[in-house]
Amino acid sequence: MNCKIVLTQIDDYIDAALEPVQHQQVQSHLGICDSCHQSWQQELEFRQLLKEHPVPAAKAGLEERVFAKLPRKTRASKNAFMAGFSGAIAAGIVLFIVATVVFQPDVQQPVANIVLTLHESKKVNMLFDVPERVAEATVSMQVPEHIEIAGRKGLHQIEWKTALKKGKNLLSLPIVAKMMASGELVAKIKYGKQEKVFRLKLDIHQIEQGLVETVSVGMV
Amino acid sequence: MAKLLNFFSNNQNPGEFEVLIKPHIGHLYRVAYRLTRQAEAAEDLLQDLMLHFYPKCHELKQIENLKPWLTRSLYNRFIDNIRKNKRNPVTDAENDSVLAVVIDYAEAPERETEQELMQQRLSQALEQLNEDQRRVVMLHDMEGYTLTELAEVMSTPVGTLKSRLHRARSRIREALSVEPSELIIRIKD
Repeated sequence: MNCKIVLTQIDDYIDAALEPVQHQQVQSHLGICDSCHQSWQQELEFRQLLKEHPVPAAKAGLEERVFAKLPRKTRASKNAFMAGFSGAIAAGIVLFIVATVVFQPDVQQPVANIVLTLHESKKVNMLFDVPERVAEATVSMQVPEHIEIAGRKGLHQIEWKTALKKGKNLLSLPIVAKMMASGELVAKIKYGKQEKVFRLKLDIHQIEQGLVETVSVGMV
Repeated sequence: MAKLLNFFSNNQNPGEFEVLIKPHIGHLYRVAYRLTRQAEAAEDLLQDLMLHFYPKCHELKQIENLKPWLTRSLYNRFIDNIRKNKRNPVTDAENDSVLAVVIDYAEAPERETEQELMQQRLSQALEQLNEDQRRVVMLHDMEGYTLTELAEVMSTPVGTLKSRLHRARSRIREALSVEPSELIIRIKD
């Protein structure tokens, strides 16, 4: 192998991109040719310079900032889910709330955030996980004055009696924001003398035409 | 209902996404910086990627080798963002970067060590490459990706990448062989 060929193959030699036989030939030549050996050394120095080209360190707290900006819907822990409430989830125009109903003395329930678009109907699906069948429970839902239950003009509160089966029970409620204001949707489940209260914080956004809506939902 | 329950079960492990992603954050930031050449833009790109994959944590868990897969996704989002933006921000970055290097040479050449000066000159040389050449040299020679890996990341044949890499190195060598003073004059003209 002559110097001309070796010099054309030095890049691939350093990149370990040559066939084993060629690699061996170049290596042998570099061992006996001072000129090519010097070119190889210069190329190695050049590669080292490239390798050491710095990337400025990110501002302190990069990980924290990145993770903090993630939607909080799926950051709720499994423990929190099993303890009573897992959060609200926005997917397109459907929102879900998952709760495990354990009829123990009520404690302060966490509040979830839901962002609504003004005059746009969204469905809030509440999924209650009940450990045992409940023959009769009273379910009520109350929305603030500026929120309506879709299709029921002027209706801000509903209450009904129902049986809850063991396992997952889905309750769906379409709501629509009529005014720019904040408020809470309050859902209650009563069974005998026990009561569980779940609260959803509702934020209303007015989306300008042509802009993509961003929905932030999660535990507070 | 089964799908709904499955959806919830896929997202309930606390911090699962963070556990998967954290080992790769530093690397992804470096690649993002190499691509965007601006710290703020790099962080935005990284954030954009995280927001995209956060709801798909269960899919990430199925990926055997996450690092190249994430790198490819990052690269694709970078390219998508460029296509979406009618005004290419990279062009502005190039101008800013060139200006900064020129000022450094002109005002304080003596305070720099030889190595720092060489790295500044290298930055200058990189600005003279086209985008394709710059990306391949940054990811291959600076971040250590093999051409085979880059072929996957950039959806480009190995032969094409190899040609770009050789041309890029030649142009860099040529630029580095020019004395700094000559370089300043050339840019000012």
